[in-house]
Amino acid sequence: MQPEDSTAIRIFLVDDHEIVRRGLRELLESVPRFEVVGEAGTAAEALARIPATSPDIAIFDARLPDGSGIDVCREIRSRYPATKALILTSFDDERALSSAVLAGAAGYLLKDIKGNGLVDAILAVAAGKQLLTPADVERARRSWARESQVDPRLQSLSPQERRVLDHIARGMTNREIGLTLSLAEKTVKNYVTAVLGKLGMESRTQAAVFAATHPPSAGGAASP
Amino acid sequence: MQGPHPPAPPHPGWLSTTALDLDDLLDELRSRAQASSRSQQRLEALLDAVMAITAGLDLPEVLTRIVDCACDLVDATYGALGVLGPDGEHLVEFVTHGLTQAERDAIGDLPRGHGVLGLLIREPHPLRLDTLADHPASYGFPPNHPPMGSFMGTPVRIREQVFGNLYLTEKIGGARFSDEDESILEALAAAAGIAIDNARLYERTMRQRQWMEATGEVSQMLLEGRDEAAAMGYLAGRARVLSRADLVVVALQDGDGRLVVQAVDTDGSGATGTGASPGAPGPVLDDPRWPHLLQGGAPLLLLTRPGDPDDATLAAAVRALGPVSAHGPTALVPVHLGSDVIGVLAVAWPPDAEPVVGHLLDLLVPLAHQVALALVAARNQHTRGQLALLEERERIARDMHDHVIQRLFATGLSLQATSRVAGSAAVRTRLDDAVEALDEAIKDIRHTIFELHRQNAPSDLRREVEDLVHAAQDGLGFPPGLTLDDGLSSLPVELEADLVAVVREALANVSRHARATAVQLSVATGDTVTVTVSDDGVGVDPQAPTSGLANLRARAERHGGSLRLEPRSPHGTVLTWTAGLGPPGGG
Repeated sequence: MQPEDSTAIRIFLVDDHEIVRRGLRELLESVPRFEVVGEAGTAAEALARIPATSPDIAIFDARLPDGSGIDVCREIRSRYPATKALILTSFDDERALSSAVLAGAAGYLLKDIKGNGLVDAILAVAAGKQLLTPADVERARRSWARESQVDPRLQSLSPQERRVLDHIARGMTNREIGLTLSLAEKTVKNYVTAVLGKLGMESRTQAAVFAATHPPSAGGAASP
Repeated sequence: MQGPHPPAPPHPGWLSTTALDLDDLLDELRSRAQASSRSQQRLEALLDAVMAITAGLDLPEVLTRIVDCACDLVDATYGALGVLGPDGEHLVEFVTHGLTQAERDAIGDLPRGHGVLGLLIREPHPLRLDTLADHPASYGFPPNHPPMGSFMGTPVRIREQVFGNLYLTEKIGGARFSDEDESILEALAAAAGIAIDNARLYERTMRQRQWMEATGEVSQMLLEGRDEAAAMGYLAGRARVLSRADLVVVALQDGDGRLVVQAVDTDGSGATGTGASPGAPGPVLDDPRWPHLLQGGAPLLLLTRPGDPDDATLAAAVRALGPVSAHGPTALVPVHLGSDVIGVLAVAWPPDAEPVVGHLLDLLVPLAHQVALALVAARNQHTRGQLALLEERERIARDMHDHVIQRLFATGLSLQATSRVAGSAAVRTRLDDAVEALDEAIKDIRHTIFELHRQNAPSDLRREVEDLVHAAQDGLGFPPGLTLDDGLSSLPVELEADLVAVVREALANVSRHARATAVQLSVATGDTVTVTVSDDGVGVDPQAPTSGLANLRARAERHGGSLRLEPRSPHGTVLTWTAGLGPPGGG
C-alpha cells in the first residue's frame, strides 16, 4: 500500500478550526504529489469520513471539541492500519510527544509554520518512516511516571489501565492490545478513554476544566 | 444640743416655781422643736446625699461620693468604703475620706480585712462601737495610722449580695455615734447599693461596647483584605488594653499545622508585632500540648504562682514572649470554628490581677470566636478571589491558544503556500519574511500561555527550579547538578517568572545542541540574581538559531542585567545570566 514516489499522497485533515484546515489545504495542495481528500472538524465527522476516503495520512489536532483527537486517531489506526497518522498540536513538546505516543501516530508536529517541515514529515511518514524514536517513547513514559508521582489523578490508574498504557507506549493498536490482553477491542477503547481522561488528554472542554483546577507541572511546559 | 439663749435667771417668790416649770417647758419645747427641725435638716441632707450619689455613673466617682456624703451626714472625721473581692473574704479596694495622700502613703498597704473590718465582712450587720480598740476583735492599728476611737460600720448590698462595707470613725467633737447616725448610715448604704449597681451596669455596658467595637474593627480589617498579621497585631493591642493585661499573644496555625506567633503586644513598649523583623515569621509554639488544648476548644485559665512546679509550661511559654512577670494568671483561648482549629489567643496578667480575670475570660471567648469567623470568611474571600483570577488567566490562555494561535498559524500556512507558487523572487522573500514574523509571534504567544499557566501554580520557586532540573533529565539523558541558595524565596514575582523561563531555556539549549555529558546549574542571589549553566559539550554553534539566546538576553536586560556565553575549558560552554532585584525597567 505504500505510495511510490510518483503516486499521489492522499491526506485527510482533522482540526476544529476551519481557518487552520483551509491554511493546511492551501499549503499542502501547493505540493504536486499531495492531495487533500477530506476534512473533519469534529471527532464524529472524522470517524464517519475517514473510512470513506481511506487516506494515506490523517493529520489530527490533538484536541477536538467533542472528544479527543488522540482517541479518534487510535480508533482509525486500529481499524485502518494502512492510514498513517500525524498529530498536530500547538502545545509544548512534552505534551505533544505524549499525545503522539498515546495516539499511536507516526509523529507529531508543533503548529509552527516554517520550522515544522510539515511537507517533509508527510513525505517521510508516507514512505513508511516512524518519526517517533524509541528514545521519544521512553521519554514520554518517564514523563508519565514522573507526573504520576505528583498528580493524584495518575495515581488512580488501575493495574489494568497501567498495562493498557504500557502497550500503547509500545505502539500497539487497540486491536493488538485486545489480542494481547484477551480483551474485546471495545473494552480496550474504554480503557484508553479512561487513561486519556486521567492523563488530562481528553476533549478540549474536559481538558479545560482539568487545567482550571490542576496547575500543570513545571516540567511539562512549553519551550519558547 | 445647746439653745441659743442663756439659762433663765433665778426668780424670787411664788412666781419662781411656776416660772421655773414654764422655763423648763419652754426649753423642752424649744429643744424638741430644734431637734425636730434638726431631724428635718438631717433628712433633707440625707435626701440630698442620695440624689448626689445616684446621679453619677462613673464607678470610682460614685464610690468617692458615697464616702464623702457618709462622713458629712454623721459628722465623722474619717470614712472608708471597702470593696470585697470575688472571694467575698478580702478587700480589693479601699476608698477613703479624711486622709491625705501623704497619710495614706505613710500607712502603707491598704487593709485586707482583718480585725474589726473583717468582723463586718464575716457578719454583715451594722456595728457601732464607742472605742474601736476595746473590741475583742480589734487587731490594732499599723504604724502611722491616725488614732481612731468611735466607730460605725455597715454593709453595702447590691441585690442581697454584699458589695463591701462602709466604715466611719471619729465622730467630730469626740462624742460617740448615735442611734440616729446609724439609721442615717443604713439609709445611705441602701441608696449606695443602688448607685453602685447602676454604675457597674453602665460600666459593664460600656466595656461590652468597647469589646464589640474591637471585634468589629478586627473583622472589618480582615474582610477588607488587610493581611492577617496586621489584623492580629491590632487584635492583640485592643485585647490587651480592654482586658487590662500585660501581654497578649496571637498565634495562628500555618499550612503545615504549625502554631506560628502572629502578634505580641506588651505594655509600655507599645510595640506590636512578633518581635522579629517585619514580614519575618514569628516563633513557633511547638509544645505538643498545644494541639490538644486547641482541639479541645475550651478556654483555659492558668494561675501560676512563684514556687509552683514547672507543670504549667504552656503559660510559661506565653509569658516568655514578653517582658512580663513569670507568674500570674494566663488565659489560653482557642480560636476555632467548629472542629477547625485556627489558632490561639493568649492573655497574661500581672499576679495581682487574679481576682478580676475570671469575668474577662467571658469577654475573651466571644472575641476569639468572632475573630475565628472573620478569619475563615476572609480566607474564603481570598481563595475565591484567587480562583477567579486563576480562571480568568486560564480563559485568556485558552482563548489565545484556541483562537489567536490557530489564526496566525493558518494565515502563515496560507502565505507559505502562496510563496511556493509566487513567480517573483522578491515576492517570495517578502512572504517568507512575513511567515517568519508570524512564527515568532506564535512562539511569543505560546510563551505567554506558559507563563499564565505558571502563575496559576504559585508554588515554591525553589521546588519549581528543582522540578525543571529533574524534568531536563529526560532530554539530557543524565541528571544535571544543581546548586540553589536560600535567597530564592524572596524574589520579586516578575523576576521569578523570568528566572524559571531562563532555567528552562538554558537547559533545553544544552539538551538540544551541546551533546554534553554533564551540566551544572546554579542560582545565586544577593544584590542580583545569577543563573550559571555550565556544560562539557561541543560549545556554541555559531550557526545555531539565536532567538532563544536573544530571549534570554531580553529577559536579563529587563531587570538591568546581562547574558554572557563563554567557552569552557577544555570544552563546553558557561552561560551566565544576571538580573537586578529592582522593579523591571523599560525595554
